[in-house]
Amino acid sequence: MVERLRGNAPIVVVVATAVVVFGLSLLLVGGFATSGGIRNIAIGTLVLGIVGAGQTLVIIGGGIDLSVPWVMTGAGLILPLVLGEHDQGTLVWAIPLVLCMAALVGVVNGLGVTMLGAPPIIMTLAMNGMLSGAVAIYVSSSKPHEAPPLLRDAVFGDVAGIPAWALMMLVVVVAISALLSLTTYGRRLYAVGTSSVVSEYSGIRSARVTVASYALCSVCAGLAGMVLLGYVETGYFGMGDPYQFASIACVLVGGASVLGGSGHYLGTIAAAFLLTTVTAVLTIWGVGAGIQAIFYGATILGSAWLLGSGAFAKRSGSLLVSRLRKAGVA
Amino acid sequence: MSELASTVRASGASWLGRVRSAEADDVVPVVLPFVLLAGLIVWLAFLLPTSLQSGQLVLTLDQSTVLILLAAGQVFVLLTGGIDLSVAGVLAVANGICATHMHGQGSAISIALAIVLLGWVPGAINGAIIVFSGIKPIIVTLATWFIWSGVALVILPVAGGAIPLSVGNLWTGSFLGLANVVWFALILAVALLWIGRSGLVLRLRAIGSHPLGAFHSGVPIRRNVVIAYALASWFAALGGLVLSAQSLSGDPGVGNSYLLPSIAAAVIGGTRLNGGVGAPFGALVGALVLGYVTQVTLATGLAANWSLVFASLILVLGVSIPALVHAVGRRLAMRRA
Repeated sequence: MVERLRGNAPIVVVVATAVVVFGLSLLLVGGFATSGGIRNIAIGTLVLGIVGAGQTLVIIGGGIDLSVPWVMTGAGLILPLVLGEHDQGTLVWAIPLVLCMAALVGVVNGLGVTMLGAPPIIMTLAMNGMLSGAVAIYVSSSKPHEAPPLLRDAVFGDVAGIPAWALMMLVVVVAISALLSLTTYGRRLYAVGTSSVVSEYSGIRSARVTVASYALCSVCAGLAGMVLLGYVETGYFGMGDPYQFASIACVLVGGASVLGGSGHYLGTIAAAFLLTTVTAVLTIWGVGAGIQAIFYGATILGSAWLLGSGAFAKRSGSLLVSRLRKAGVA
Repeated sequence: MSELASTVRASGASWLGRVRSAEADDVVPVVLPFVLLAGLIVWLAFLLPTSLQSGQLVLTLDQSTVLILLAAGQVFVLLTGGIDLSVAGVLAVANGICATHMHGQGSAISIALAIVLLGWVPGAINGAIIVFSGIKPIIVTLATWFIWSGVALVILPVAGGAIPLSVGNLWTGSFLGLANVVWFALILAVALLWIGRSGLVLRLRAIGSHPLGAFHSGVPIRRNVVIAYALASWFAALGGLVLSAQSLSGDPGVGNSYLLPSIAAAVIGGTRLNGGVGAPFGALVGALVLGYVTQVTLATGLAANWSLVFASLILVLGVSIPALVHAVGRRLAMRRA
């Protein structure tokens, strides 16, 4: 039990920090506590939380996915194209179609990592490059980029008095947490992320687990792209770009190790809430994009330092070589 | 241990000797980029005979210079088994400083001097954080990429600024009948060849292929890793200076478009991502390969966006072919034994 608690200490800290920062912002920051402002933070957290969900799976499995921005942008730009002049009702098959395209991207990522042996950073960075080229070729500027009204309603509307964003968030949190904690797939993912060799010898087909994690990540990114489209109302090139860093930042701040095998979605969603709140406060204070980027960088560095060698780590001797090996210098 | 031995063997003696004595998985990455480059040049010459004129060659070199610098810097870090994502930010900061602070001849010279003298500092910070904190290079440089991109935005919030024409003339001018671009590339090539044979690169290869072995052989690991990151950032800062002379303006987002190509050029040039194998000179060839990919794409009448698709494909193949050859070779060796 104590072991369990110790492993989750970072998550508890992140959740507590997020709640405290949000509470302080409500009380102390003028112009923060408006209904529109709160809704923007909620939807911002939702979009970041959905991308972060996929990124959490991939990072727990020992990989990293840098191709999320153009999966998001692609989904946001291609959905209006697929819909074209058709009836709104076509969304019923248009959304699954776009998600299938996203899943295909993820499968290619996963196969590149497992079959070709390409390092995840390179495979997904290259995929991002390929997608940005391909989407720009496929989507010419003359075609419609407006979000279908139904999609806008799905993001801003409500069901029986409960806002739609809250329902979507609930579904995502429950689904991903259950996937990680209650299913065999979740267990296998942690095992593969801890050591793909050991998991292979333990009878897990680690390649399949890895490919599935990349496919799920791309599906999440595609979904997030569509929610983002409904939120910003008009798709544009590069709409997903900020989420490349932000999704990784919220997974790492949420307590997952970039080496794989640890972390949980509850940490990620709390970190997404924290980062969105802080970004909103900085924007209210008139802090420019530059300072915000510096803040993001410092946050990543700070949390990596805390998790890696500070308060939460078991001190297992400070041999130079073990340190270096952990650093990957080795 | 055998990896270290083969690395030391592969990096000793002459370049030709290195090719002869190397094993299959060492030969492929060394020869492949040259074959690729030659093939692309011939292909382009068929599509566009004018591409062999000296003016066109100089133009290609001109367009590839920034990438050559970034990729060469990236090689030092990749050799240690690390990666430097922050070069994109350092490039943007150097570009932003040039665009906002170069007003005339005097200030241009002092800014250029300052960049050349201090360009290594951001990398030294990266290296110091990595060796003393134990955080993975990708996380440290991801964070410093954010931070330097932010600094670039603070220095120059939107694309613009003006750099004196005299700086640009220095870049486009010529000396002794040869374009300055060519002189720069020649000096760079000689420098990269020289540094590739130096003890530093040998030590970085040793660290990347077997850190424990390197440690027991008396290689000062921390110092050399810090030097590798410092060099990567120095080359990126130099790239920012060259970029400023080419574009005569600044753009805070310029670095990001160079990040993927900088890693791609290094990898295509034969540097292995998990460390231990590679040479800075290979990055020059790799960068030229990417430059010619763009030109061939345009010459075949495809949209410019296709070149990005092809460059990414080449990157994935460039990473996976040596690994596949290595795996196949190992399997064959096991069967023989």
